[in-house]
Amino acid sequence: MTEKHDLLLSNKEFLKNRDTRGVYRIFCDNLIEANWFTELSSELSKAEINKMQARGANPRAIDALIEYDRPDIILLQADRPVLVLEKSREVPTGHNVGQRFARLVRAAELGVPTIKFFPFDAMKHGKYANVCNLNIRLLKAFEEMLRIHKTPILAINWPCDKHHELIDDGSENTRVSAIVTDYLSSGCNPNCREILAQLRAMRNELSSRLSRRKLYGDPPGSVELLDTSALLKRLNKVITPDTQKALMGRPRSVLYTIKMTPANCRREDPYTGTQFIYDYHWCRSGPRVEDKSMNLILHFPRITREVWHKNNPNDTSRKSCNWYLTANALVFSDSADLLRK
Amino acid sequence: MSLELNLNEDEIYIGAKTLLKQRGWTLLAGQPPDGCNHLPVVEIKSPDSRRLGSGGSYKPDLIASRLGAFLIVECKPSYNDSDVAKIRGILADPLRVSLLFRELQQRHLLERNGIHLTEREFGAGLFGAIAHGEPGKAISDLLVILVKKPYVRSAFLPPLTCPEFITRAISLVE
Repeated sequence: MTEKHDLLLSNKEFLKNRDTRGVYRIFCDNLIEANWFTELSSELSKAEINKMQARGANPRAIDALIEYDRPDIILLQADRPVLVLEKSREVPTGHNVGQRFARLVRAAELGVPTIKFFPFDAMKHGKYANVCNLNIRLLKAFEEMLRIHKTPILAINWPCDKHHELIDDGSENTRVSAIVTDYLSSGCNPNCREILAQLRAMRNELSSRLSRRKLYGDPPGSVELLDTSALLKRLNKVITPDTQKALMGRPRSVLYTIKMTPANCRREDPYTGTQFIYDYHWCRSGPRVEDKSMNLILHFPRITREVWHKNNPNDTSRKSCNWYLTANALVFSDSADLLRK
Repeated sequence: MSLELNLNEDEIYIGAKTLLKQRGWTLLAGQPPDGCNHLPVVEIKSPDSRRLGSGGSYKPDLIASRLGAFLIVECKPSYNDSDVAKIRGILADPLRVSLLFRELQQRHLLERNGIHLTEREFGAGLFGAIAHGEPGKAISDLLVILVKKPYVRSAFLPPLTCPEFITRAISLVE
């Protein structure tokens, strides 16, 4: 079997945890998406559909999965989450790439197999209509998440026609349907044939796209990979000695500069998702956010600490808490917060 | 209170789609409440909007076609004056109708569905509809899609003065 096969849950572990007695329950924000999902597999024909409520009013497993953000579909078997699915018509490129990412991270952290169904290449409309291509760093992040969390996170392409318009005659569902059906009929085995085939296809896709666009193997313009000592020298005036000492625990750092202004800094998307992409891409070495080989520093050169906290408090009832989920430090124009060593 | 009044926006959307499909309409585009659909989202930019992105734009909940008629549908749980005004505003503005036609063309949505016509023909066949679950009266110049559960009970409520092309398009036979 493939090397990736060894990274997933062992068959022994799977058989120990398996419970095929429970009925399926779908949790969603939108009945249209839930109806679409039930049509992917006959296994879901009798699934019960529930609307996700506000945090705290759902079954415990659902509340845990929506802690960062709400995915489109969560499938429970009895009380156990067995699948998370996110569906989007947007190509994850440019500013879109980090949107919706934190919710996928949460599923991976909790060991729930996850599917993101979206177009890899499709027409963007409007004044500057053109074909947009998937940002390859997303596939790389998925690969790292698989390695770290040992849980499959699948990118499945929503195919297009000759005009690069999304196909919507039902045939676009063929691949996602095959994977969901095989996974469910195998008793939710993450090692099932179709999941492994999709993981192989994703690896091929990543390497083929990377060979055509080698620049995507390097950090984007907003990201620098630096010696921590050089980074601290540059930001010496705003980082206290104690914080500097804590950050020196890792010799290398990733500096992600976000040039939001005070007028537009009350926001999360796409940055809070993008930070996770860079985290998995360059920093993470293990499943806990502290498991990093490099520091992840978020830098806001145009915002003071006071303005930041007024707009983006670490409040778990708001999505702004996502800013505090994985970075080691937030560095502002006048000071810095150490979030974790 | 009628049971139908309890239908939420998702259900109104699904009910409107179900009725239109059952009665032979082709769904060209749409945007469901808070979610992703398999239909393409069509955006009609405001002609006086100079902002980038979606500022000032209008995204119809559904756009459907049958026998040369084109419907712009707004879906809400109950009758809503602002929806009526919104649709009337679009239909009365030749520039926005033109922008809608160009948007459908740019996305190849007419061609993909075997529809070949001029902008003028499109404008002449364009009509507005309101879908909701509140039993009520017909509207003078818009079609009402009255959604009930089970969805097969849903029905069209023609406008008081119904143009012939709409009468033909909502009829059971071609």
